[in-house]
Amino acid sequence: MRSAVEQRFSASRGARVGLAILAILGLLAAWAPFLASDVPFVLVARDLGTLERARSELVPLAESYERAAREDQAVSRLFADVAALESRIDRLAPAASARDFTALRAALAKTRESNVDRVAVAAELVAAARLTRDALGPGRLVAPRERTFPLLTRLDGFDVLVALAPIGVALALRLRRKLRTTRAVVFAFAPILAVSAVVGVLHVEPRLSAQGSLKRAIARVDVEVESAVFAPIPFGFAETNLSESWRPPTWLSSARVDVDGRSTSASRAYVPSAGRIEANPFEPAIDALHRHVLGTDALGRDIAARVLWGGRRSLAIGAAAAVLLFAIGSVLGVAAGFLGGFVDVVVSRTIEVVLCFPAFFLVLVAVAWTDPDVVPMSLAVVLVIAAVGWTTTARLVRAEALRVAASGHVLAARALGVARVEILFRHVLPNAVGPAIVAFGFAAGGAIGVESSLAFLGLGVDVAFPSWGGLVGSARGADRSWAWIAPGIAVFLAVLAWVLVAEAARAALEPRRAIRSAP
Amino acid sequence: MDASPPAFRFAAILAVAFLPSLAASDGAGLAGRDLKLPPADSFHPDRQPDASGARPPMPAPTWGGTLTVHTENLPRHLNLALSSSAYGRRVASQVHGWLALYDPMTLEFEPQLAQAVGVLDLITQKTGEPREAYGVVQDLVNEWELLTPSGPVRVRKSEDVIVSKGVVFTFLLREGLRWHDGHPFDAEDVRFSWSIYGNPAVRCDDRRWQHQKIRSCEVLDARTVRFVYSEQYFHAAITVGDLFLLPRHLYDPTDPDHEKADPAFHASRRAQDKNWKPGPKDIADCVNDNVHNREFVGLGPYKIASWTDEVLEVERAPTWKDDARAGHVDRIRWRRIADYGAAFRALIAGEVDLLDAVTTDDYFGSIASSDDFRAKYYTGTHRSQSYWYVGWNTRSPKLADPRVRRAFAHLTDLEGYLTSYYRGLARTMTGPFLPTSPACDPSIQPLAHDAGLAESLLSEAGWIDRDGDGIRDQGGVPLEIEVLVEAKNSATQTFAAKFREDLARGGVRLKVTSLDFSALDQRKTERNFEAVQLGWAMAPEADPEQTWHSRWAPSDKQGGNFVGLADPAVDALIAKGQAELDFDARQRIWHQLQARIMELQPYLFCYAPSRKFAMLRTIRGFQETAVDPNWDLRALYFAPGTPGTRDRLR
Amino acid sequence: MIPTFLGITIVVFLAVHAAPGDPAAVLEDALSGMSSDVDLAARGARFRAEHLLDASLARQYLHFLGPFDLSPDGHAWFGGSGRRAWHGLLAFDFGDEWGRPGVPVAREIARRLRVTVPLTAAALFFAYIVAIPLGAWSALRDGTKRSSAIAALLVLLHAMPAFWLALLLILLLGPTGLDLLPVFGLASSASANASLAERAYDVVLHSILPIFVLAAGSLAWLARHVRGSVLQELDADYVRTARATGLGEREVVRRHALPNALLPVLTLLGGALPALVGGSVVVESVFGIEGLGAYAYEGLLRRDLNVILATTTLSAVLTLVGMLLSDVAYALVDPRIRVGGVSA
Repeated sequence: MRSAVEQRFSASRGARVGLAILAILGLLAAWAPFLASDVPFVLVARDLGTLERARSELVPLAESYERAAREDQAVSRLFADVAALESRIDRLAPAASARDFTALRAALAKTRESNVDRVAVAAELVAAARLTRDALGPGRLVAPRERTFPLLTRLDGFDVLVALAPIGVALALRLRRKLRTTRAVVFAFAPILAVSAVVGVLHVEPRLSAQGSLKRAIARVDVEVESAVFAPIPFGFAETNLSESWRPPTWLSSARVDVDGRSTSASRAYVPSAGRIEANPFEPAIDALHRHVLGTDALGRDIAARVLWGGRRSLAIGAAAAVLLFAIGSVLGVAAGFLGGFVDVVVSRTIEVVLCFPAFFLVLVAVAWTDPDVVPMSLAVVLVIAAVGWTTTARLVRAEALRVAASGHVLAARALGVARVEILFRHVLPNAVGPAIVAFGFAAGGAIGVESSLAFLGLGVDVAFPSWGGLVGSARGADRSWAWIAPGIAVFLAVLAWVLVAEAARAALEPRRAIRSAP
Repeated sequence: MDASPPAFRFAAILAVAFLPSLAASDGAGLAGRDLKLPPADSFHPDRQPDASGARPPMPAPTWGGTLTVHTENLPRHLNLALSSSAYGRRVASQVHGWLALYDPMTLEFEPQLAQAVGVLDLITQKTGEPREAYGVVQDLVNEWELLTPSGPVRVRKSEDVIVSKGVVFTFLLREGLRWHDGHPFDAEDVRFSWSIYGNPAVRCDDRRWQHQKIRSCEVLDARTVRFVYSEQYFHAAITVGDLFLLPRHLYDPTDPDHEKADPAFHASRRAQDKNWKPGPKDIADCVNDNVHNREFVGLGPYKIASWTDEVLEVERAPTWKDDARAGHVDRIRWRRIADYGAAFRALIAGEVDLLDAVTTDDYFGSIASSDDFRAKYYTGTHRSQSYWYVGWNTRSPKLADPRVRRAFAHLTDLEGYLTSYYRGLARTMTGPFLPTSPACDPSIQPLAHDAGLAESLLSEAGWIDRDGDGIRDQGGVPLEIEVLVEAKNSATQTFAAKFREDLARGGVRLKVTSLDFSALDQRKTERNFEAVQLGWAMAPEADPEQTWHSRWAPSDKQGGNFVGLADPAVDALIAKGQAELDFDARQRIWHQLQARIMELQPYLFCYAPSRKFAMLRTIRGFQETAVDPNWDLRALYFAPGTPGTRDRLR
Repeated sequence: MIPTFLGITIVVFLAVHAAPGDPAAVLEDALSGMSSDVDLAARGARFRAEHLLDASLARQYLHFLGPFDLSPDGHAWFGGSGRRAWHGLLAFDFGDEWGRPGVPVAREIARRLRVTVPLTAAALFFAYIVAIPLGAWSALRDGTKRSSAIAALLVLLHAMPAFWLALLLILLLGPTGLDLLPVFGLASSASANASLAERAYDVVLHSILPIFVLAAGSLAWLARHVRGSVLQELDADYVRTARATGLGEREVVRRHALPNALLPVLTLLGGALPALVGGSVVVESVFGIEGLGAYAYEGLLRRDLNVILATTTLSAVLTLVGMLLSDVAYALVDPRIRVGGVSA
């Protein structure tokens, strides 16, 4: 029977469309870091700024050591300064000759000796540092050419897991032809999990000064670039450009500007705030048609990038809430339906009481009240949606469990003395799975809807990450329809996809009906 | 003697009638105190300068009409002694008055309901029989010369003779002033209005501390009342002039006329106790829960006509006799609309005539630039009395070093943000005083945007990235600052995002925590913060003590100095300024204070944004002033030809 | 029902009072910034005393529930001065708004109920009126192209987020689009002085879009339930029996299948009302309507405890009312037309 249901399901057009949409949205969300990012995949450049900074920090580090020595601070502090000096030397060494560092290295070696007069050694160190700094003056440092992978090093274990997950899903589906479902999933995901774990452990937070301002560093020629490969949308979701705020999609005539960045459109629909737009290197030209495909928001952030990244949050919260909701509802529903008696009474009463609560209001209040330091907002939203939404699933599953429990072969099994637990797992659960999946589909769609409504109202929003509902909420106004149409379409598609899948599952589960002639 | 309140001899008090400042309507102010106020209607399309630079003249004033003004909030009641809200004050400016206050165009201290103000000194002899006398005291080298009506008296200088200058204020009230219900206004009303601050049961805690500096209040005759301060205080004049006046016959049960006005009050108490006499508790009850807190009886040119949750309407009061300051429109209506977007829509729908809170989006939006809109309305900006800043907790070890705080200021591109976000409609702050205030030294510049200088300052202070993670550290502690920002305020949220980027460039990590106002305020009060983004609403000349003196720095003191600044130079300058009664000399002291505070950077001083307004083109006479709400409602009139107007007041 | 109601009030009260931050800091002048010469400590202390913020949670809850006022100025039996004896839910007094002291929450709620209840009722009515025929028709014509089209349309409508639908309609039909309908508020100011008929017409025009958006989600959901329910009934034994007795298809449908199919649909009323009350928050916010939902939302943003308590309790009450109505409707309808058939 399962495979017949599956056949009907996969044959239905709704299911196909729904799954296709989910696949596309999921893929876009999973690969968002590679599609829209303000740092390149590959960067071949000379980092002048870091060298200059290292040079200028030699003397302050030595002076800090001297202060610490004079104040008789702990040895660990002294060695922190020494280690920092050594790392500066390491950084500078490839750019200058070894001679320049002999004095400094000698002084550093002395600090390692025991039974020395620390203050005297410190004074020597300061003098040596001054000497080295002056010797490495302008023009003396030649920065080596380096090849780095900024975008990839920015990913942590979780990002890698999410990015590889679609591949895992595809692999699992493939393997299902040969193996049983559970084994297929395990085989497909085990290597992915391993890779993610490795990346997670090895991951190092990227240097702060390299975050987000790489393009500006390039513009200032702190970094001299030979070549760089950027993502298709070379903008980050959090990258601001106040001179380009509220710019309509650049392919529209109202957003046209000339080469200098001054508006050329006849309508006063878009006027750059400072009179001209400042662009960064490696971005499309200011007057290019594809610069901002969906326009920019109040802070000049690219909306297309934000929609891509917003999917991660919206879809994840929708799925997580649905899973939690589904778990709670199924467990309670099955328990109530199958075990009956006291358990049934308690669960049914609880369902009634929870139903009495004005769901959306409570969600609003709960989310508005969460202290973001104690509970991350995303988690709060998930918990709250699950807490008010599990009742529908529970009812559905309970009804199904009751039906199955009263059916012929279960009664027969009971009569034969088969243990209740075994009946539960062998007969009730597999049959209850179908309607439960239907319930899950609707729950996921509903959760995405609720989450985006919350974000639209400005509640439950994580300041750091965009979310589709939040994008609509911060842009509402007919003046800027382009800013909220796209995220709204995204939400609509996501909910639609889940609803289609759930509908198709429901249709597939029903026994075939005789076709009636029209009355 | 100080130049601000005019001083004159004892005998001449009754003879001198003091005229209000004759500042021309072009707002130049008195010489030497240029407040840089623009001329009237400076944004009106019919007043724009022509090719030669001259402005077309203003149309002839008219009288009549109803003006509907938007307000974000309405006061709960108008008894400002009990609760002093800015909104209450704006309404009270039309329906009531004060003894003396800052002239909005010149910031000179001018009598309003008083006809004249006399300022005298106090000479006290402590030993033997303690004696004191009022008069003008002059400093002869070895002695004090006290000028009294009966002739000069010389007192030898010694330790037990103390002279306090400018602590005695004598007000001569105008003749013929009546409350809106017709009852005459006299000095007993004034004395009663002050006496409630000594009554602990009256709920006037907001301002009690200020009025408790006044030692005594005496009624000399029906039109003369005298206040004596316990010590010299530069703010003395404005504090006493700002006393909120209450009608004794409606608020004081000991007044013989009170029983006529409110017989039920006396009857109910006599019913419980035949021998009841009104005492302090009864006075407090009468002030706290008086029906006239809403049905307000005042002394101004307008009186309350109707008051609902959404609309407060006032109309002309027949008791106002002074035609010069009677206001042009016959009725003023304040319409409360809390949401700014809805307020703008209300303006376009004609429900509001003047909107003083246009958002940046609306101001530069397509509706405001459309021809339809411009045919009917015009927009402009004016200064505001508030500025905002990022306060650093100077007690926190990371932020204790002023070099670190200065580095943060050098890292922030304030000018760039001003152009791109505010579009030039704000002024960068250069210290704790508004750029438009005389206390602000125009030669002081904000700290330059210089990342290199910032980095060297931080390195000098010992903050260097030793562990290689890109964040500066010292002693194992990374330079990570948490800044508290108010959740709903989009302007500060935007700035916080930019600020984070700017600081990241210098190797400082900024963590932005978004809280709602009550949570933010609590953490600030508990000193549980590293940085906090807030704003101040400034009075025309504020007393910097609460905000900057080390006396208010300890964490158990609730007050303005929550950043914990404790600098002896700052304390000394504040004390010197408070004791300096000469206005110009005092401003020079404030300039030095500003320079010192800028050096220490207890705040990152950000911006004083302008307020944007939009109003009907038929409204003329809009004059920007130096006092909240920074424009003069009484100067507004409808253009000639508007239906319902006339060319004379009566 | 009463224990449920009390339980709801307790949960709401606790949830709202668990808020971080000091509610006393929500003061009248928060909007205008902080003035440096006001004694904030004294003002805060007075505020706390007035609103019982330092009293025990139990006392605060009983003060909230009422009918006795337990503040220092409250009922004489509990140590108050006796000036204000009554307070609380049971006395229909929710206190004053914190953001606008002097304005009683109850008065404001009454004003806004007059807006939200008709809107919600109209939306519900509209949803049912359209959903039932549509769902039934689609079930009866099952298998035809038109009914599939209708089913697809219903799915699309169900999936569309309310806030987006509202913004789209404003864009298309409002002043920036075709300008067919007014999009803001419930009345235009120009009509304030017009005749009653003109004012009524104006209100109707303004309500069209909000009611549609409110009803849209419920409509789709209801229609699909009706469709499913009718389909199920058409397959039932008793219908086959009725057919076998020779009744025409139409009679069968009209007399037996449809009425029985509609029974479970009535119980959905219990779920539809709270959904609408919740949905009104978004709709009122977008259309600028001053209703209960907008009030609750603003109160939440402002951390105005009195408003939040009042609106949440009220929506709980409305939910209970909805369930009561559906139970009553079911009981009324049930015995009269029960011919046979199994209910789940």
